[in-house]
Amino acid sequence: MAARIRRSVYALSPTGPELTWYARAVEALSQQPRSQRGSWAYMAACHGLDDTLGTAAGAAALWRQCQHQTWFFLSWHRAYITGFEAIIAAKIVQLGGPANWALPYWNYSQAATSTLNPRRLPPAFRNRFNANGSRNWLWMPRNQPAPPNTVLTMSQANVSTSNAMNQTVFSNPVGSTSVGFGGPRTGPSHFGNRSGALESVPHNVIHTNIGGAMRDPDTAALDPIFWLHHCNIDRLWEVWRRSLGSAAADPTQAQWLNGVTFDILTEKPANFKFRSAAALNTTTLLHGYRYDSVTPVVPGGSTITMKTAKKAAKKASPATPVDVEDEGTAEMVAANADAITLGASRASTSVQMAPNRRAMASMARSQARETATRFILVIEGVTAKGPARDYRIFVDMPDDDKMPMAVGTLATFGVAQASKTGAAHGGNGLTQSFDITDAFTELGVGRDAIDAVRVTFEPVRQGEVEAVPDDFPYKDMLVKPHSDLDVARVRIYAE
Amino acid sequence: MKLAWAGREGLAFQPALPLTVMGVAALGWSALLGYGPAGDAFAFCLAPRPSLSGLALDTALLATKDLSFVTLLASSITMVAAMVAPLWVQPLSHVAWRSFEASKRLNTLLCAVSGTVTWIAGLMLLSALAYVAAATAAAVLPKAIAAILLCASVAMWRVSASGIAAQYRCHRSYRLRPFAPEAQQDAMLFGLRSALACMLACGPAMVLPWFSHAPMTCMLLVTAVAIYDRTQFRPNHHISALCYASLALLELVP
Repeated sequence: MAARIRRSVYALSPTGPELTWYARAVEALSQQPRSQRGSWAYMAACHGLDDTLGTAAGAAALWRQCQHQTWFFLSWHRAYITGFEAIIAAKIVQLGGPANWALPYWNYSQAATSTLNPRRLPPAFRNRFNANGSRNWLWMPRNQPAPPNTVLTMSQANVSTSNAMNQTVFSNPVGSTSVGFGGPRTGPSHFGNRSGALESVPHNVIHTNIGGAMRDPDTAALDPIFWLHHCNIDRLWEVWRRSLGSAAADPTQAQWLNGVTFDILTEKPANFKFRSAAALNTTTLLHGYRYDSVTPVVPGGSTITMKTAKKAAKKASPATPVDVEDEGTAEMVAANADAITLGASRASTSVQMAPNRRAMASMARSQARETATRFILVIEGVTAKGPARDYRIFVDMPDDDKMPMAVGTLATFGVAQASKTGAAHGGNGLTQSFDITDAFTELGVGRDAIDAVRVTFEPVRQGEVEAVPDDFPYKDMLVKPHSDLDVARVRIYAE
Repeated sequence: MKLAWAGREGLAFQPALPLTVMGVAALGWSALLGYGPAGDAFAFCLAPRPSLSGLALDTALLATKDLSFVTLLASSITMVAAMVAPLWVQPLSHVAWRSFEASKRLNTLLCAVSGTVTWIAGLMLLSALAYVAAATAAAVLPKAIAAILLCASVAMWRVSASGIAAQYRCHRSYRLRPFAPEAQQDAMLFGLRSALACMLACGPAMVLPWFSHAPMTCMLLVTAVAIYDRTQFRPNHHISALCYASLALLELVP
């Protein structure tokens, strides 16, 4: 059987067969109880499920298995959505639909045109009811758009793939300043610690941008848009692999390739035993698939050429990743004094320079000589009791007349799971790092004697979740209020 | 020299640190294996268990007479150096990576001292209890049976929910304030908390050598399992438990 072709949802008609049959399959599978293998809720539980909801017979190896903040993030999700595709396709055939249904992807990073803004939620997912008054099974309560009566639209910053696509290494050790495109080298990890570049943006921030079930890993896969989002993340992995060439892009470590076996749900009665090596060829993974387009695109419409990407890869060979632990050259040059709590309002913390200033002096000399010094902002120990807001991060120097510089988004998808003290990560929470070299250069840090840098957290404004019908399953989970976020430490390293 | 496991969980690679720690461990093992100048003291660890008869209570009372503070202290220091020091690369790296250059050595040292003192005190207590328990068990059970039962108990603890939770607590990192004097207080507290959590997670395994008729082999295997648990980001608990259970086989070897 030929590999299936996954197409952009914006290339499909909202009322065409692909999305119509998808909705019918969602409806059929949603009628089945969570304990029934292959039901909609059962599939969602494979990603995550609140611990209090227990488990079903035979589900121990399948439920709560999603891999995050690990180099298995991409491979596990590839197998997961491909198994899902097989289940939906089988259900569609059972309902009398066509064979070979393929999961569409939502390419929100695609350049907008005068007639199309791909950052908008795809039309088939927007309305609670179909034109004929029947329930639209692709709808879920999500964040209300602002202004009201418009369409929920992803923010420009959230759809950016440039940082991810600029990565030249799939994975670095977890303590590195950059953990690479795919995530840090860990064992199997159901949350905890640091996300890879693609997982941070756009993956994590799109989850919270959409809101509703999508903002919490325990409910995210209940939303039909989840699968199109992850299909796009999977496609972006292919885009990156092709940019670099698989020889440069793919992990070669045995631990990643064959070291861990995951159980994956498919349409068959037995679990699919999956190892990451099987993910490297999409045409042979389960039924096999490929994408209609894997053209590298960065916001603004410019494309990363193969030549440029290879040049970048050569410049920073995977054999010599920028890696704090291995190089041993990074030094903490500034830190804030106490933990801070982030709520609905903007909050700042003063990140004070090292007492002896030696590091800063060396930094200034280094800049004067124009040698490469990188400054890395590390936000460590981010914890919360429940789903929380995302925050835009700005750095500036107190008492100057320059505008604060935006350096990135603190993505909180999965923060509650990473904060559970009884889990393997010990409740250490999330850690995120940002390269702030350009911002420092712009602000003149290193040229002038300074005592502190101010780091500001601006909550990303998102509408409240749409009204949830009383009879809607998981209603309580969808309307959980935002939790406050604790940030244990903000530090700056120079390397 | 690159020790990949020095970098687990966001830890800086400080070449001097693992070398120092491994040096301490090497000294401990040399002392245990070679019976060096301090051999008389820690030979206590390896001495055959007293074979006493009579009522369990009498046995326990008799056993305590063999114990002395100096013996316990010497054996605990040696065991901590040999078995526990290799596990301290990560916590110490954690402190070093989160300290300013000027206070890095002081903070790391304070963490190491606080953790080591806690471990030594704890191990002295554990050793005293184990010695009494071993002697008591020898009075009511064949020694091999007691050792096998203990191996099984340690294996069960390792895979139990409480045992796994104890290990996660042991591998947890703590918030460290960067500026003096809070930085030094936090470093000491980190050492103390890590050592206590570590004792809860691995303490039961640490007493296994007291019951085994091949205590040196037992110590080596327990140390290997502890290093495996520590260096794996997500250790396989069943593998560790299986290793502990397999220590029972030592008792079947004449």
